[in-house]
Amino acid sequence: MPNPEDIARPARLHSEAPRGETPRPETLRPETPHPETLRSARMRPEQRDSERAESAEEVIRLEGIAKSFGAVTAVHPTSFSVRRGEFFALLGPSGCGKTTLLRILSGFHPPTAGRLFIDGTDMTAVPANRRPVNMVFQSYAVFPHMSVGENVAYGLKVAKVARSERQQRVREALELVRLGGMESRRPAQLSGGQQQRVALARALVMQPKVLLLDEPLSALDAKLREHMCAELVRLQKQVGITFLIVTHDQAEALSMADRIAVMNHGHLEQLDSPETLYTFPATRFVADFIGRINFFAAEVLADGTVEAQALGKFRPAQDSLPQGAATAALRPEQIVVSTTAPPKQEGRSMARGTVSLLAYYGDYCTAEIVLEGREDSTEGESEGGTEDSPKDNTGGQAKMTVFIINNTPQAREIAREGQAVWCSWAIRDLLLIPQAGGG
Amino acid sequence: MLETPQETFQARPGLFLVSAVPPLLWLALLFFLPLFLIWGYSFGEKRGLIDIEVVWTLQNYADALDPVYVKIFFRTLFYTALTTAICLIIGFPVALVVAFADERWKPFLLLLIVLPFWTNLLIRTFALMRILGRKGTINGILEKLHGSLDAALQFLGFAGLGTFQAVPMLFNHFGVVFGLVYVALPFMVLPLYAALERLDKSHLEASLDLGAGQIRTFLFVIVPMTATGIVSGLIITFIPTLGSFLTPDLLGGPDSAMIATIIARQFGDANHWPFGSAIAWLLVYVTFFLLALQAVFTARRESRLRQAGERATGQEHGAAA
Ligand SMILES: Nc1ncnc2c1ncn2[C@@H]1O[C@H](COP(=O)(O)OP(=O)(O)OP(=O)(O)O)[C@@H](O)[C@H]1O
Ligand SMILES: [Mg+2]
Repeated sequence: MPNPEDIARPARLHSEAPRGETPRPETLRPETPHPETLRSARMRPEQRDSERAESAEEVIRLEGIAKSFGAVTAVHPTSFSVRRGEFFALLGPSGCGKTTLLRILSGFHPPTAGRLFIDGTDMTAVPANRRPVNMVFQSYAVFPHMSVGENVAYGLKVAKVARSERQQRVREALELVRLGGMESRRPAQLSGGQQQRVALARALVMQPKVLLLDEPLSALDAKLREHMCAELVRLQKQVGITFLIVTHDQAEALSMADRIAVMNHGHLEQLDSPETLYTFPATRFVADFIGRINFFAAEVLADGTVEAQALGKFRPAQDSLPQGAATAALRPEQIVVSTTAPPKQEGRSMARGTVSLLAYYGDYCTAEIVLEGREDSTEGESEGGTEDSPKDNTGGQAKMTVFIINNTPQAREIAREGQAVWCSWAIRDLLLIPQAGGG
Repeated sequence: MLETPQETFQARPGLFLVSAVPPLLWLALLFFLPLFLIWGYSFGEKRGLIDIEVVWTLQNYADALDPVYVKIFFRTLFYTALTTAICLIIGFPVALVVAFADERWKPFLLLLIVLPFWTNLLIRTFALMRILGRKGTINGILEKLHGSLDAALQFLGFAGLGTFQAVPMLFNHFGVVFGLVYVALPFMVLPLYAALERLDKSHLEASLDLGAGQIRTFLFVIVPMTATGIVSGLIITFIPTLGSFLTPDLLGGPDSAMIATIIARQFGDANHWPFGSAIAWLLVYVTFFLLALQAVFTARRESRLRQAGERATGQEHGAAA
């Protein structure tokens, strides 16, 4: 068996030939690894390493791409690249310019500044119908007057692919999205989820260098969305095509993507792997937008120690922090809650508090704990804060949000409003975000 | 408690009937009754100056099949078909421009299209005569161009163009079709515009995204997706044009009369109501026939789609079994 990493690598065939004359890559055929990937599995380690370096090469590069609509700047000059074969997510709150950026990539918006390279070629001025990328539209945009098969065949017909090959590729693409045998159905007879699969097959059958997806899951119900997340990841691994997905749902991005670009107000805030984004958010916005987090006002002193009203004085794990105002951040799951005082331990801090607000989520609760005798003055983050992220400690009493796993003996004790509890945390878990990086 | 009119009517059927009476009466008195009377007259015979007796004769219809009238009838059909086709060819790009115009310009452009409706047809037609005539605006411009070109050629030592011959655009076929298109164009543009406006633009982007050019996108995505709008545009242009009376009368020549002109003459100067009624009803039959044709076409199309769907479902069940 080839190892999964090799299957995930894109096929070489379609990365060179221009579209339309593309010899049909084997990779679209389900469950049949490309002969070359089979071979590469047997290669010597050093050969595979060189290949890996090649596969990490960029398939999209943006150089200072910017877009304004009249007086509105949707995207400020932005530069980043997408690697070949990766699952890349553009994440950000509503109106931050994700769709605009995606439409610049697909060719529907000319950028106001900057240059765009797709597979090393400058595509800034190339019209949408001559770009080797394909898009899955948020509204699916399945042609209602064509059958499922005709929909999928549309792009191949345009590219003048011979009939027999076209039929085969359509069949394979539909099997790939688990719509095998539905060629002659009309879109009106399909559910929303199925229509979306048609849109996926229609784009995938073109063997694009990059598949662009604009909020593909936002119209699906929660259960189906979860299922489609897994499906998209499976598909991406199977075909090896670079996926670039736009979403405002951080859970979606975290679970699917290899790398995530977080955007805010038309700026790129941070581009990293999900783990890095979650563990080491570069800005306060990213920390707040991804997952839940508690913020505390803090100050970095000249000797490198940190003074925080709510947390006391401590020496942070990060060094070379700029002196001055900063924000200390702590994830709820890093806080241990108990009804009795935990034993004193080197490198851990604790505080007494009272459970004040409980929210029930089935498998767990969130509890807001008001810390006894501690003040905090973190200024409210006005922008980008998501609704389910804990409220800031805006003035007055210091609070922290914690998780309580339900249906445990401990939960039955703690999860009561007014319950006196102890919170403890490891000092090295406190993440310090300098004020300058908080914008 | 507030309820919708629909709920009110459902709760009180009596009220619904009472409020339905005036419009039904209106329709019966002013539409069905005259239509029925004319239908009766078409089987009648003239007795004296104004008396008509309905004797259930088919003589009027037989008279209408006289080659003279058949020729006018086919000419009418030809004018109408040509007008409808020209309206579609001109109207589609116009509708596209309006539908895809910037939101700021849309109301203004729509206003330009419906503006002619606010002016009397007679006045517009006379204005058109002023423009198309021998001494009209267009020929005036042409004459000026001719004059300058002539002078330039003579200056360069070439032979001159001779005297200016006005282009005949009035009192002939051209004048009639021009006038008919001019009157009917908004009727074509509006349904097309409505259909384009309803069209989800992401379908067009999907087509471009899949590599198609503008022309292919137009033919294979826009046209089929606005088919209902096109059909209503064709019908709403065709039927009124078929009954045009003023335009051919004022802009046409001696050999460009349309059937409505003949009908009008029977009810007017010729004072032969039974014959006029028979021709009028022939026109109604043609209209009904076309509408029926369209209904059959739509029904066939729908049932084909449904059958295709059922077949597909059957296949799937078969595959699953
Ligand atoms: N065609 C347009 N004309 C004018 N302004 C636009 C246009 N398209 C987008 N904008 C503006 O650009 C900004 C970014 O819009 P964009 O659609 O890219 O946001 P988004 O991140 O995709 O948001 P969402 O998650 O709501 O889809 C917004 O302020 C929006 O109002
Ligand atoms: Mg968007």
